[in-house]
Amino acid sequence: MKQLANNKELYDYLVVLAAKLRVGGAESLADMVFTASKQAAGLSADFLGESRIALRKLSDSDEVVLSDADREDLADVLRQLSSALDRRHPPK
Amino acid sequence: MNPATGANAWGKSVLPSRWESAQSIRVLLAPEPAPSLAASEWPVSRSGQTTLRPKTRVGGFWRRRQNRARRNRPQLPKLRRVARRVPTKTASVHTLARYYEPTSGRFLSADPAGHASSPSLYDFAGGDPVNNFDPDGRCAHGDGSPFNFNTGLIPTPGDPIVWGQNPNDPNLGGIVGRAQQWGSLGMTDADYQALADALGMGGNWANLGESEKQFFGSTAANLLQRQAAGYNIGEQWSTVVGSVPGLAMSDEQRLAFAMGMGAVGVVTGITTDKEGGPIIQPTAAKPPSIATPYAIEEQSPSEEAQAALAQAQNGATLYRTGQTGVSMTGESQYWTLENPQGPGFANGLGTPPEVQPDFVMTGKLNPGATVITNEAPGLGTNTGGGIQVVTAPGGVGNLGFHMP
Repeated sequence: MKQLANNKELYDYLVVLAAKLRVGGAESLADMVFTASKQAAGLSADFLGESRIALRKLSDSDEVVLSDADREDLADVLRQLSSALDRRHPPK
Repeated sequence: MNPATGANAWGKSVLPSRWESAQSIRVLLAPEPAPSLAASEWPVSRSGQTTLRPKTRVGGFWRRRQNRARRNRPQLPKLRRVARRVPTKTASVHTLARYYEPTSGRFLSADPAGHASSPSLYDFAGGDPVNNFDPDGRCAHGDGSPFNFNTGLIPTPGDPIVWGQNPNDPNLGGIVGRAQQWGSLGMTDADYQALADALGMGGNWANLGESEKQFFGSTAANLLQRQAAGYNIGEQWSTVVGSVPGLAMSDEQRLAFAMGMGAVGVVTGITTDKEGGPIIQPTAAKPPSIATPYAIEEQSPSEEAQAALAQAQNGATLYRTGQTGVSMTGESQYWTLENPQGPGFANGLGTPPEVQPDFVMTGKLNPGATVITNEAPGLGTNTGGGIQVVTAPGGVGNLGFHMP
């Protein structure tokens, strides 16, 4: 299970993920994820929010670039982002 | 029991109440199983003829027994009636100033603006919801002035994100203009459903009340105009309503939606008596909240957040930071009272030191703008960081830009 210890680890994860996508030929997805990583320079809510939007689009994408293990990590990260952003609104 | 007072050994009356007495009489008068009487046992009149119905002794009184048809009908178990108020569940919308109760189409408290806006202090939109609109519960904007949902203020000329009140406003065209007027043109359920579908919402709109439909048309006009101005309303729409597109909406969601961006919180579970009597108690008041593309941000009850809220509302400088050339979905709704260039900012708000910001924006809260403060979100050790200030889009003005 992919467990992020802090925002910095999310940033590292996004940078590596963008590189994987670029190597796999998914340029647009790579740009999207990389752009989200740049939000790390801003406020935490912007960073986590933009990251979740980008990762959700990646998760919904039909382009098969990621391995099964990568997709599991992606789901884990999305779960942690939702937990952080919706902490006052737990899923019903 | 004391025969004089009817009190038992503990001093409590054991005499039946008026209601219980009535029930007792009903029980005593209830039909009993018909005894099998031989013809010779039937009551006989003085003239020697049998009476139509035999008498029976009930509760010490002679009473004619009921006729055969009534006696033989199926005996249903009697349900004890309890004299109590039947609670019903309604929902009210909390606008910026007071609660609105859509069932009656009235506010639950007096207009804080006084009689200047309406002869009645409780009417919605001055009693004319077709031509007026009262998004914050303080007055009716019915003079043709456009209302800016982003700031809650009458906007300055040229503001592209304006909800026009006047149906003849040239800015309102096509579906926007129609939606604006639908409330007064007898829009059908199919029309509302089509509009909801066009906005990607779905849901069953046939159950809406008339006043809610008028709100719906107005709110849809606002959102469509925002969409036409290039704003991505999808996230806001779904977060304001609190539902996933395509799912049926609850009453609470419909009401929140009906008040549109003017609704900052919804109260559900308000109990009234069956006759629509006075409100007894609000049971689930929610704190003020603001929808952003990322989440619904609620006001934090912590002392730190409350202090930050007061600072922001009193004109303290707000900061934002980031990197130039990086587009984002948000509309600068997140701010902080802490200077990003100060020590500890990165730790408190979770900025990785490897990613240095190359700009800092400063600004102040616009008068009357909706704002809440709460703890910035974060992962792991960054959780529970510094206090963030969240405003509606365009809530911060007097902007400055600095590149460190």
